[in-house]
Amino acid sequence: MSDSAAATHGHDLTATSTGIESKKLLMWLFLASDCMFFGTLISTHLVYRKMHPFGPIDPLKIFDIELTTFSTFILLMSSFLMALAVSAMHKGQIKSFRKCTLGVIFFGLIFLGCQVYEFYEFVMIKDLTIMNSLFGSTFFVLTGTHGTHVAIGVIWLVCMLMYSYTGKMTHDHALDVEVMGLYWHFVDIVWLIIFPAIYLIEFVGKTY
Amino acid sequence: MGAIQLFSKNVSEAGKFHTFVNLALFMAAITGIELVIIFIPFANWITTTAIVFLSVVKFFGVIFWFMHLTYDKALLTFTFLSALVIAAGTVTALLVLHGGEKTIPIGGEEEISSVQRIEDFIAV
Repeated sequence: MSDSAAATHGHDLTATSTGIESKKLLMWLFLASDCMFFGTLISTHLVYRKMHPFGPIDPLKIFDIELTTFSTFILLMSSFLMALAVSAMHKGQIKSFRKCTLGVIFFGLIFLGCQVYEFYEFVMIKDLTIMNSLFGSTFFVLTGTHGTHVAIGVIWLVCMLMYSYTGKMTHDHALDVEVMGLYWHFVDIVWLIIFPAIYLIEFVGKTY
Repeated sequence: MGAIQLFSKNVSEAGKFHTFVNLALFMAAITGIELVIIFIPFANWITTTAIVFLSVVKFFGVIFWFMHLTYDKALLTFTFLSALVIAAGTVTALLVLHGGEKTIPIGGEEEISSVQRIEDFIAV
């Protein structure tokens, strides 16, 4: 980061040998490891999908692409609000931070609601369970793991929002908010990969 | 000095706000294009390439601007991109390794339930 950018963030960067705050570096390392974790889950799904292309499962009849696109849009907008929340915290605007965080929580819950609805529809109506097919196993493990990440993110956001109402949150906590924001953005980018790799790709060449 | 820093900081954050708004609108538009493109009768490879490209654009948009990589030290970019290369390499290697016909198990054209596989294994 340049000196001006360092000043922008307003933290003491001399505290570490790398010039990066330890919390932030640790979060990035965690996200890097999580990136590889999701890489294996996605590849597992794709490999089994390739090995068993003629199963009884027809993704075109199962997937509700409009709903999934809506979920993607919601998660993107939550990421946008998260970026605004971090920016507000850097400016010391607690009220603005609260509004944006509340918006992120709201969008996160909508996403989770869409996923719960999707899972319910798959299991109860379309007979796709985690046990009855390889497609179901890899699909539910992948999207379920992502959903768990989203749920953890929402809980973290709620905790941070509640903490802001105690009056103890100051401009010094901007780094904590930024680290939380990194996690939330990561959840978003994982979905940006899952959406085309798992959902959209099934529709290529089959919709016309 | 402090007042100058605070002023420059606010200006910088205001600049970021506009960047974030533009980026959010851009990515929402890309998501819409992704949805539309699968219903247009292009060749499969064109559609697939377009979807992959648009997703990569969104991906890097988020990590470089929303996640501040473009404003942060290069070490963070290097750390994350290293992991990304390993993850992408894993996906590519597995798809290539399991892409051949010889890797399809006997009866692979039928969907075999994971439960059935475990039961068969136990029976053997």
